[in-house]
Amino acid sequence: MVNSTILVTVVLVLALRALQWCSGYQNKFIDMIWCKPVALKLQGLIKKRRELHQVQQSTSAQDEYAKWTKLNRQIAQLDTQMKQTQEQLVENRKVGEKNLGKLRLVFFTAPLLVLRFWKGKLPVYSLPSGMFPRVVESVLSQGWAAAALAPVRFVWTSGAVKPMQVETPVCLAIWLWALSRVLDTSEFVVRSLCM
Amino acid sequence: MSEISDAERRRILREKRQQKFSKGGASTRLAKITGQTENSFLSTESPLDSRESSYPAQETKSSTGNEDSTKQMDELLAKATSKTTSKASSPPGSAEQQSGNPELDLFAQIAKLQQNANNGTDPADPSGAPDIFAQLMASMQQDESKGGSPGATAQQPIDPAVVEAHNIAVNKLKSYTILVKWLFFLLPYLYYITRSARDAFQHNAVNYVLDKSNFFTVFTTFEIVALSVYYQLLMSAEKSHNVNTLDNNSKILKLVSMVPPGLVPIPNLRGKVVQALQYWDVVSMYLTDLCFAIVLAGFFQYYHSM
Repeated sequence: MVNSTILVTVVLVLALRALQWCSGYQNKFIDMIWCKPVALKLQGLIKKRRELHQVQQSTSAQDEYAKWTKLNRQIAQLDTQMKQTQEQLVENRKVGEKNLGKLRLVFFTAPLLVLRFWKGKLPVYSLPSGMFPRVVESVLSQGWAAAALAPVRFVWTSGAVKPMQVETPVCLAIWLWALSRVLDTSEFVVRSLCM
Repeated sequence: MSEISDAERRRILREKRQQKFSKGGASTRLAKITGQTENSFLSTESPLDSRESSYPAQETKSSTGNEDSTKQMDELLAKATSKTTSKASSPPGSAEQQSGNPELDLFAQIAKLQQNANNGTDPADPSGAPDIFAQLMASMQQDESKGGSPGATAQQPIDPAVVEAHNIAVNKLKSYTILVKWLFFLLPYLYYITRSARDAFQHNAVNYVLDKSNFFTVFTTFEIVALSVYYQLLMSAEKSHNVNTLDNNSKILKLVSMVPPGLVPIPNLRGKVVQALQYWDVVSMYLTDLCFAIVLAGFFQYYHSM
């Protein structure tokens, strides 16, 4: 039975990766939620401007000068409105990206960080002892702090007999680090060879 | 005067004018103004004409502001050309003492170069005075090469398209290396090692390799061999494309290149940073493979226990 913490960690890691890989869909998501009303308004303005421009093209500037000038003024007004709407759309896009980044931070990145520090020493699985050197095994079982404390421990426990261990557990923090590194490298390989 | 009629007055003026033209007075006056005659109002003496030390001092008609600077330049050049056997150690103060004119400083540098060339070249050189500008360019290049680091490559601008193609090739090489190592060595090796029930082989070497306690030794040996092969291929790729990967891609190296030479009290900082980056690249690849081994071992443990 796999520990629920480990399952949650795996789900979070894979979800975060999936979000990074599907960045194209992210833009569609942002457009749908934050930019849709302004985009529809802009679309209406563009359509109206096109219609007025067609009418103006069919109007003679010399014969119907007043009408032509009126149309010209309306088109100029529409151009100004369109420019303002485009700027608003860009602003909304930026707001959407910022909010999505915050959501990603709150729901994925922060929990992973909390898990890494709070449940960092939780054993994920165990490897047979002797596969790795003692320093590496102590890092695998206790995290990066073991590497920093290794010289101190060597001085304090020199001469004492170390208890025999059948298996070496791999802690969650080290396993997360290894998994992230493997996923990054796999991404790099796929990108280099396939794209 | 009022008794003379207008017609009479006009006739007199016409006669006077014609007399002047017949004498050639207009052209003489014009020539005098533009300095084409001896007694002209404008001095046409050019400082470029007076390179020799002895000059006929007959054009010194009017003392303008240019005369003094021209004389000073002449003296300077005369000094430079007269010193053919002395060492190239014209006191810097002498050139500076002449004037604050930057043109004089440039001429002083050119004179110095000419003097150096005269010291260095064969006295029986039939070609005469060497090209001053070629010497100037050569001395500038010498200064640049002395000021640069010994391990630095030539600062020739490399085509960005070539750099990009090289980077793509290097990434592909790295990817293939990783794939081969992971799929053809680590995957089968870890699968076999994590199996609990195994038959012993007749050969001791095979048994040694497949023993769990020797996993790290075998793994590290394989990594050393694989990384050596990878680096050899990388060096040959850099040689064939004539592009240094670190020089063109590393931001740290670009930052270090911007540091002035005397700022950090470490000799050959750039070379040390290059070496450190190369070591880090190797260590990073080793750590990546170790991470893959750890993850895969866990996966196979779980798989075998099912």
